[in-house]
Formats: sequence, structure tokens, C-alpha cells
Amino acid sequence: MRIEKVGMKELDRHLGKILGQAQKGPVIVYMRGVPSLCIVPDFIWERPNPWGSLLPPEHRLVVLRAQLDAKLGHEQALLTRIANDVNSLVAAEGITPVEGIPRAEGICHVEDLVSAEIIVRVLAFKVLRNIRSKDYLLDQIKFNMSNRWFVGLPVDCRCVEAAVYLAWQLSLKPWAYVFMTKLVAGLAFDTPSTPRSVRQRALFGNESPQHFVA
Amino acid sequence: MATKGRFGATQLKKELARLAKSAWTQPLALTRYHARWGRIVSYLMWRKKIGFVDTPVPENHPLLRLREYVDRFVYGKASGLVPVLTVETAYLLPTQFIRILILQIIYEIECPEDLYEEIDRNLLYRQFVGVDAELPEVEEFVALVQSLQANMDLLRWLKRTLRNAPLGDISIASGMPAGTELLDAWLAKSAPTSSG
Repeated sequence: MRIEKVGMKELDRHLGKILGQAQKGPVIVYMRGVPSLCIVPDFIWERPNPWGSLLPPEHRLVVLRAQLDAKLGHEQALLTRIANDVNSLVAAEGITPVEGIPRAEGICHVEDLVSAEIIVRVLAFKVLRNIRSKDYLLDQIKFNMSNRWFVGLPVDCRCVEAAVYLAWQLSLKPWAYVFMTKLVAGLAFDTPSTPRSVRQRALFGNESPQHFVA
Repeated sequence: MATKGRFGATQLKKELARLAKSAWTQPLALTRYHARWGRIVSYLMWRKKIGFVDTPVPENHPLLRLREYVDRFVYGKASGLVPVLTVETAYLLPTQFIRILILQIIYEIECPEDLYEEIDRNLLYRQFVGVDAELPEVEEFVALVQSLQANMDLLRWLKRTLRNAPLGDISIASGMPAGTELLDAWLAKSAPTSSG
């Protein structure tokens, strides 16, 4: 994310130019060396997760999400199955699957809080990044705001744990493995930032084959 | 929060100081040809909007425990850090750069631009590094990281510091080995050749 930064003097001198810049993206205004204000266009501010607008169109997450969503558009039957499975999962357990969150704030019905598309994107993220730990998957989606945008969760969403929990439970089902393998075929997240250890070797080499490997 | 008034560039120019100050407490709506296009908000409100305020990182996270461990070395044996203390940037302290390098090493994020991106938007990594505001520009960040990666004294200090660091918990939590192979690669690259 490249956000313009200006001081108050600069803002005063070049106000028209800076406002013109701010119509395209946020501008942070410094006062006495400290970030104090932000000029934000409404098209960014009014989004539930502004990160979609903060990432450049050529960013790998933006490209990947467009490709994934295009594929998902042809998978309505499977999305319905995932929604049903998640609902069954919640009903069968009879409890909130949200670890560490009071029941009253937990998930009641998947369609109320977490859509099947979000669950599938979390699964796709797990597969494409070759993530083998539920905790690490949660870290990556809860704390990395652009990853959170990628899976479709707003920045102030309180059901990140629920989405990750449900996706993880689904990832243990063989049919979901088949579905995800088909869905992510041809997509890639392998970038220089993917740790070498993940690309080349696995700590848990004898891990259950039910865990997806991209 | 609702915005206050509607301000075009002309009025903003006339009363910039006053309006800027008032935007700390209540956002100002901006207009162009009477059509609203944006707002001026406090920096804190902006950080809240992008999710940097309301997502607390658990204190017992393995990465934060590693930070505690590393900080004991950083602050307890600062004399060993003289080579890195000369690093200067308007946005980051030398101690923060040490944590940045450790983050890069344990997660094996080889590319400095990717490291920048991760720290820029990952709250957990920001907390590990101790960054509460803006990072320097990416070009400056990359140049500083690359210069530190070639600093043999610093690399040796990192090697000693990480020798008994609690990396096992991070390996378990992340499902991948958190080691020092990347650091070893930098050391090998920076080491003077025997012939030379």
C-alpha cells in the first residue's frame, strides 16, 4: 500500500493538487512530524473492508481473488453443499464453534455471519499457501488485513475465528478435498514471500493426507 | 461518525488550520462542485477504519514471547549492537530493525519488498516489530534491510541471540519450521572468502 504523506505546510501550499491526489487514494497529513489527519475518498471509506481499494489492481491478492471468484461463479451447487455442511456442523455440535468467544457472540447460522463463499475462500487460501496449522491460518486471516479482504471479511468482523474454524473442519472432509483441488487448479500463490521452508519441505511430513497440499 | 459541514477547496484553503484541528474530533466532508467525494478524519480514525485498532494480539502468542526473549538481549547487551546502532531512519529505531530481521529470518521471507508488505499490513508482525504508525517508504526500507543483511557483526550477534531462542513454539504454531537457515545463508554470503 502506498499512501501519500504530506506536512501541513505542504498541504497549505499545494492544497488543490493534494486534494486531487486524495480523490484517488488516502493522503496522510503530518503535523510536527506526527501523522495527525487522513484525507480519504468516500469510495474507500465506505467499504466494509477498504483494503480492496488500497491494493493496486495488479497485486497478486487482487488478481487471485478475481480468478477465484470467477471460478466460484460456476460452482453454485457446491457452494450450497458447503453451506449445508457448515450448518449441519454447527447444529450437530450444538455449540458455538468459535473458540474463546462467548456463546452469545458465536456463530448461530452460517448464512447470518459467514457465507459459504467466505468459507471457500478461506479454504482456498489455506490450500494455495500450503498452510498446515489452524493457528497459523487464523493468524494470517485475523491479523493480516489484506488477507482478510481476500477471504471477504470486513475489518471489524467478529467472526474471523468462526470462519477459520468452519473452514478447517471442512478441510478434513474428503469431498471437500476433491472440490478444492479442482477449484484451485491453475491458480498459484507461490511468491518469493512464501517461506522457502513451506515451498521445499514440511515439518510435519507424516501429516494426515486429509490435510490439503497445493 | 457523521461528518461536519461540507467544505470545498476554497473554504478549506481559507480556514485550513482551524478545520484541520476540528477534524481530529469530527470528520469533515469534502465537496467538489457541490458533490461530496471524501472526508478528512483523524489519523486514529483512519487506523481504526483499516482494522489497526480493534484487533488485539494475544499477549501469549509465541511470536510475542520471542520478542520478549530477543529484547532481553537487545537491551541487556546493547554494547554488542554498536554496529547496528548507526542505522538511522525517520520512522524506525535500530531495535525495530533487529526485530524486522528476526521476523525475516524465522519466517524465511527472502524478499525485502514482501517483508515490507507483511509488516505494513499484519498486526501481529507490527506488534512484534513495535511499529505503531507508518513505515518508511518501501525503497528506503529495502535499502536499510539489505545493508543490515550484509553487516557481519550484526549477523553474528543475531546468530548468538537466536541460538537458544524459543523457536520451537513458533514452529508448532505455524506448522512449519522456524529456523535460522536464511541467517546462515546471509552469513555465508557476507563471509570473506579464504582466498581473498
